[in-house]
Amino acid sequence: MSMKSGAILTEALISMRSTGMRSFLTMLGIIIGVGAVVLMLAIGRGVELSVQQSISSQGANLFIVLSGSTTSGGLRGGFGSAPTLTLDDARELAELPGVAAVAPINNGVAQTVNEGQNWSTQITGTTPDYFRIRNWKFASGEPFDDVAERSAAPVAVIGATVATNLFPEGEDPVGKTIRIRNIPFMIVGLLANQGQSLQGQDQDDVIIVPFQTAQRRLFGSAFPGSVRTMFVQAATADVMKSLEQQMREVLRDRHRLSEEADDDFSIRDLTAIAESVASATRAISLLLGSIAAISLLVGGIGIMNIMLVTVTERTREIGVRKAVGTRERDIMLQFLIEAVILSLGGGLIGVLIGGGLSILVGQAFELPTEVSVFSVTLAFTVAAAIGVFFGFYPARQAARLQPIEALRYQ
Amino acid sequence: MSDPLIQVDRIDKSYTALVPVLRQVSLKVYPGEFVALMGPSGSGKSTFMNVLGCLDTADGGAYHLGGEDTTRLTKDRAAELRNRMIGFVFQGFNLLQRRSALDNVALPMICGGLPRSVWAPRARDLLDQVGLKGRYGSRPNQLSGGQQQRVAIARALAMEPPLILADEPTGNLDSTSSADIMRIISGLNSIGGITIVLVTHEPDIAAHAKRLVKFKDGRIVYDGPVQQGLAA
Repeated sequence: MSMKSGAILTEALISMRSTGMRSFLTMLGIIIGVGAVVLMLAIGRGVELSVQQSISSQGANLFIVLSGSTTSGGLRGGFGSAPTLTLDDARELAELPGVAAVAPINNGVAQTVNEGQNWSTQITGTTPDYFRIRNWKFASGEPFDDVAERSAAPVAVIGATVATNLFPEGEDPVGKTIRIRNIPFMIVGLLANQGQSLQGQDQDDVIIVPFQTAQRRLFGSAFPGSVRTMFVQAATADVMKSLEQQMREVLRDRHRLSEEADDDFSIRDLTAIAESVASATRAISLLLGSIAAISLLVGGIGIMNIMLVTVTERTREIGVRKAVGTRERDIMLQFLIEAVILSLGGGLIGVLIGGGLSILVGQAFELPTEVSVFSVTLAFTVAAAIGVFFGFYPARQAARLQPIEALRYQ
Repeated sequence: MSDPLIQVDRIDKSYTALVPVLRQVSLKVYPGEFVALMGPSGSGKSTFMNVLGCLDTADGGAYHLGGEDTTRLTKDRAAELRNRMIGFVFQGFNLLQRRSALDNVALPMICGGLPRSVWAPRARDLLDQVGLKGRYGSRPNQLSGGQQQRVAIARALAMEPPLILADEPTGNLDSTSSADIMRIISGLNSIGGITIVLVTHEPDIAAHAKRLVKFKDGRIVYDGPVQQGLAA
């Protein structure tokens, strides 16, 4: 015959209530530890999410294909200086299985003017697919269409930075006309704010015009139909590797390159860059989490410390309990339950405080912080484990006290 | 005559190798007896009480409590014996300080796994019996020494043990309270038929008993009727 478990729990609760303030202070260690873990994981998750957002604003599963370089008089041009890629290349690549869309791009810098204001910015000539590939949203208006592209229409989509520099605040530029290199362009769309790219470029300081318009009206070209760069979007992330190889074969074939010749173009996988940034942010979350875990450990040691004090303080009580026939197991359970209640109670309050703080931090720093089920489960499990682990030794000390020694203790 | 409740055969006990505390002590106590143990400090009577109470074990010899050999008890079985067979009354009362009188009396019953529906009325009943009706919720620091010792006696009776071991139960009490407590203890023996073994160094307390056992230097030097023993 031994004590009922309900009775053991009651005994544990009553003795904790009698040392209320001390129990709370002990809990505080766990509260801070668990709160820190939840908060740090939420912040880490928030950083990850915001990086993911900037990755997806750049476009998912993207390749950039750059045309080759020229050498003239000992000066070697950079990628894109030789007109090796053509619109026909782009069309051919678009036919490959696994390719979702291809957008050829020619760009240059030009001065733009609207009434009294002028601004120098990047002009990108491309096809309507570009907006879809880069997943760009519109604040107002819409992208130009294929008809505008084929007819080299003088239409333009402008970024937010360009809009603020050319138009008075609050004015909708859609439908207005600006001059690019003195040629009038009608604005058909205003891009939503994109923010900075991963490389820190302002993605809003841009004007996008139809590819044909750029080539024929703005920049001209000694080689009509040549393309400096192409964005190629794969249908899924899985096909990226094999697609890169296929594109290389198609382009080499079309450019009639012999076996020994180097590529006269280059293919870059943007996802790989994004991946490395994402893994860096994961490392940051891990670091934050481990620092928080250390504070949880310190909280656990606090529990062990206070439980040892409690056992010493209650030596006489333990002696009485043993004298009236409480079994060692029941005494041990009582002290273990006290430790677990301290740690779980601290865990609960810690989750609430950590969750609340992460919402505040999220609002203050515009970070999409997220308290996940995982982090709450983790915090609770660890808190309970700490209670058992750090409570075990003091509880065993209590259970093993010799009753006569304990009764004699003053 | 019935079987002895306590049967001690030639037990030895020493804490250090040089000084034996108990030497070849033998004693039989039959159900319903009231035995006083006396002796100077260091004579071994307290150690003997601890062995009787299964709080300590002897080095050699045998001790049977209610017919059960206690020499090789597991700790759990020893705890169960203390719970079922023995009620303790200590000099220092040994009540749980932050708990009510009722909780203190209930402690052995809670340890024994009795449900609240059984222990709560019984604890009240026992407190009524020792004259503490209406003081169920009082904490030890709200009670006088005599009242605290009554709570301790009620606690000792909780599991209806056949044996009560009282170690200097009046040592911390004034003479009026001492008289009260001894009246209760004597009543337990004469009316309740409970076997009592009581340690004391005061002859007028020992006089309540029927049989006297005197210890000296770890040996029993007198075992007989209380009047002759006190006179000697």
